[in-house]
Amino acid sequence: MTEANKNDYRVGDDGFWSRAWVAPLVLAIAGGLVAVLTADADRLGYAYLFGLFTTATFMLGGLFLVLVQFLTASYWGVSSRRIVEVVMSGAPVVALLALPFIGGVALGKIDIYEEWQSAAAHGDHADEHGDSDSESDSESDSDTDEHSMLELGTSVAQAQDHGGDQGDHGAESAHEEEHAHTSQEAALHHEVVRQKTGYLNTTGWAARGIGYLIVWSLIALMYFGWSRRQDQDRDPKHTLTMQSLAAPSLILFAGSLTFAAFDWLMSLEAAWFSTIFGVVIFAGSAVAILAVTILIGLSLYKRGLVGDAINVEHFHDLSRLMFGFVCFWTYVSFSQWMLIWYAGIPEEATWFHKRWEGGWQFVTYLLIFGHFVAPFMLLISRVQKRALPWLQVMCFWLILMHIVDIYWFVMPQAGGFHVQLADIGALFFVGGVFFAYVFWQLGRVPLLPVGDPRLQRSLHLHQIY
Amino acid sequence: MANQTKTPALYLAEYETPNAIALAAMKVRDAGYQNWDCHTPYAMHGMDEAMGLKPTRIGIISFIFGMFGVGLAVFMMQYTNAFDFNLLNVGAGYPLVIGGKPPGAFPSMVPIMFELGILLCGFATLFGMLHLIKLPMHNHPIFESDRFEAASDDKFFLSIEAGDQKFDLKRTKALLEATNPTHLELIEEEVP
Repeated sequence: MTEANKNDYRVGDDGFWSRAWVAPLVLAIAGGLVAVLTADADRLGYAYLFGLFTTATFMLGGLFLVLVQFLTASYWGVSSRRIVEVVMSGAPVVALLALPFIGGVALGKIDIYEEWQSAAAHGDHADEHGDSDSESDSESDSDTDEHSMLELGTSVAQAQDHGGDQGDHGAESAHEEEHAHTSQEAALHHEVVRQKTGYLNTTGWAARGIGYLIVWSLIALMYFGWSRRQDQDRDPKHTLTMQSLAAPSLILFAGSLTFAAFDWLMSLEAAWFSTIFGVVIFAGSAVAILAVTILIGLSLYKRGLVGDAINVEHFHDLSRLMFGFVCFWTYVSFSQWMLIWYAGIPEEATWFHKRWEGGWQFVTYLLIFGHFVAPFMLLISRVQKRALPWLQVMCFWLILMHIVDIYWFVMPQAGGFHVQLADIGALFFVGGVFFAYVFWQLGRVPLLPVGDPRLQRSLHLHQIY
Repeated sequence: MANQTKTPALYLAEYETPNAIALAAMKVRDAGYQNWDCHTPYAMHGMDEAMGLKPTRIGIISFIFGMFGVGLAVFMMQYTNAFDFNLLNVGAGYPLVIGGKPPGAFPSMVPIMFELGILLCGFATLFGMLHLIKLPMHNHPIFESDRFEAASDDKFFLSIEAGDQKFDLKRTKALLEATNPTHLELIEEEVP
């Protein structure tokens, strides 16, 4: 701790990090202008969702990393926790940036969820009028269902007979068109969407969305507030408070992240469903926050702002966790895909079909190799993780891949692969505003949680062979 | 028993403090000894550097065997399930169409690749570790010393084995004496 006497662990009044917030702000303004000037109204909705959700995943990853460290009462990450906390503290910014989106969808200005929105509106309408003959309706409905189910089964089987080669798997080729070729399939598709309208309707969607934002902002502000207060009074009781609330907060976090992923990304394809979807998003978020933490930490370390408090041992730990989450992301993503591929049920396969046609096949392969195979081989060894310049390159690469990953979740719903300026502009706008706030906040607070009772132990972290 | 010849097995130096043994370890390291070890009641940070230990090779062993498992799974399934090739002319595989997927569909093999990779990696790690740390070993001459029991209590021991190329009864003893051990003994091994 001799460094601590010389170093107050703050960014200071000049130097790179005192002005770092300007760069994302400039990018945000430029990106916002580009997006507004070049996009048509349709594309802007998708582009904004892409930018918003990508940005939110950094914040959500931060929320997870802080909570899980308190849950496990760990000491390895205490010295790098402030960086994560600062990213997490951007939750209200994400909430503010999400409000126009939620409002736009609720008021019908953004029509990217048009499919279930109209089904919900239509369903309500039908209920109001057709109360008297609902009984006979339901009977004939179930008849049709059974019939169409059989038909559907046959068509899948036929398609599978035809589709011999790899890459042209039967169920997918049954879905050349938007939804279905037969009227039975169309009826079944609409029935699936109609049955979801109890959950997927505009009012519920908007209310839930605001609920997630409140939950995230509350947890983030509470934890950041306690940690900041501990900087001043150095009272271990804050640590105990944060530890005891970590478990319920994580449960809230997991639920809200899962359902936010369902509401904002999965419902873009109204009929599609996958219960692991939230976990896939979560795994990507964890990779993203760990990469960001390592990058900010490396920059602070190189400029001597944190002395030796965050050193190669801490970067090694963070990168190991990042490597683990890269594998976890692969595990859940692949499992989700493989089960759907194996079952070959049209309403499930349609989502992946959109990500295989229209130029998206390349992006899918890019994710397999760029988000898994390459990082796996290039980060597996201890030597690779401890070579800090190498680690830095890998973190930049993984953040890029995470952005591509979210792009891959959102944009195929808008059509074929065609990167537009508006997509990048929207990402720069939302991400830029968020990181401008984060970097500004980083300049205001101590760069280490100086009051944490476990900090001392974290400083002496040592990796044994 | 008494007539059996004894040969020197190792020098055992005893220290009171972790600092003392760390300093001694650095001296032994710098003298170029290879076949020696430190025995402390608890894991000491910095001891790896003080002893000049090289990083373990267990990771490489695990990786190679893990990849071998992945490759073995691919080979096994392609050979039994796809019929495109006929290795060593011992008969082609038996193509099966499962779930309407083409024979040899790669995605359905990934879980097996994963499992076999993990299995071989796990075994390689366990047995590779046992090999590297030379277990199982039924006995070691160091246990001839009565004082050595304190290694699991409150004393710090440094041993240099006679198998070391630089081991020399006089010079090694002089080296260890220069590190100010609280006790130094030559342990002999009975040779049948």
